[in-house]
Amino acid sequence: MIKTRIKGNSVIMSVIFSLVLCSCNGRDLSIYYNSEAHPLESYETISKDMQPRVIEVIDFKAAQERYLASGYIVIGSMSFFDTRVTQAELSDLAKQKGASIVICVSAQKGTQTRSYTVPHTTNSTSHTSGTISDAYMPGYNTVSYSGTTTTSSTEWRHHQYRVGFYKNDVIFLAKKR
Amino acid sequence: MKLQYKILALCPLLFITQCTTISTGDGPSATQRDIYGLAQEKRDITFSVDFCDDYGPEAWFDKEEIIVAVREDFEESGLFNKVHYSATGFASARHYHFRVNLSGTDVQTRLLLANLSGLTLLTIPVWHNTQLDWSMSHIYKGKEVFATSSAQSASDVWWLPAIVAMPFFNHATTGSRMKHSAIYYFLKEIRANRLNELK
Repeated sequence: MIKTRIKGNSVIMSVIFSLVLCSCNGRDLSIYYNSEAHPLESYETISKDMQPRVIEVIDFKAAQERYLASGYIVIGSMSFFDTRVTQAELSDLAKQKGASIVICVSAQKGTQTRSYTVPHTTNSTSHTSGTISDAYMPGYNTVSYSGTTTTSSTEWRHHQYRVGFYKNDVIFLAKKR
Repeated sequence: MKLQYKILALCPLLFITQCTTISTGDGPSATQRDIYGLAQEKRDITFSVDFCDDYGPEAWFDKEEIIVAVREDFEESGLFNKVHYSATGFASARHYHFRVNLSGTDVQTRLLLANLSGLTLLTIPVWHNTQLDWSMSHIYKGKEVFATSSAQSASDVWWLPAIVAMPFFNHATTGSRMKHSAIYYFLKEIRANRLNELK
């Protein structure tokens, strides 16, 4: 009988590969941040236990003017093209910079095609059987044999999906002292 | 043999398990109680929804579900007379525009996590995140006079002990809670800022 071999190594490799990829972090928005030249004493920075308010608007200028008129100053800004910026990302960055209000506008400029791969395992089994006879052997013996061989192969299939591609404009505001 | 039977008995549980979903509110949210009360003067309004799906396959909801939820909650709030959906932008003098952005852990990482969870037979906790960002703008006579946002996040947990919570915390129940919580918050803001009373 021919023994079936199961490749246990591929399972371990998959686990390690998954762990390594899952440890990857998201994007770092601070690289797009432009700080305005205001001395730190001129505005109130948000305390660590407070949550900054992120507001997504349609009319960016009108919203900015509303807040500037009510005693806020712009302490930083950023503008970049990517997927739509999330409120959690902006909230984290605002906490770092001490901003209490974040105003953002995201305008779609197109779509991006992204792909992902899915492991697809296929098992193929082959059966073999037959007889071996040796005319020179004493007694003219005939020996029969049979066996099953299972081979598994993993194929990585690519799939595609679309996400929006946006121009994100953001300003960070803090209350003037 | 006994161990094999135990594993067999566990199989149906593993098949019905999608994942347990736990939601956490990052931003402001509200409940139905916060918006209780009738307006003195009710007016007709229109609303539109801009839905952005950066989540990829198996998104929690689609644009139609958001439209239905907004219409139902706005009608039941008692603040407005008639609530009409408009697909063509700012259709009336009193218009509410919603932008909904669904995002989260990218598809490739989600699949790898699902793979990891399957390979370990749900014995180690594995999770991924989903974020729901909502914004509402009040367009009064063609001008944006008010804007506010609400952000919520949820975690999908694949873990064997968490199966018991699955009937109460799954995509349908948690998704519904997140949707309505955000809409109630917007209605609360409309009441607080008296946006429904603008003449």
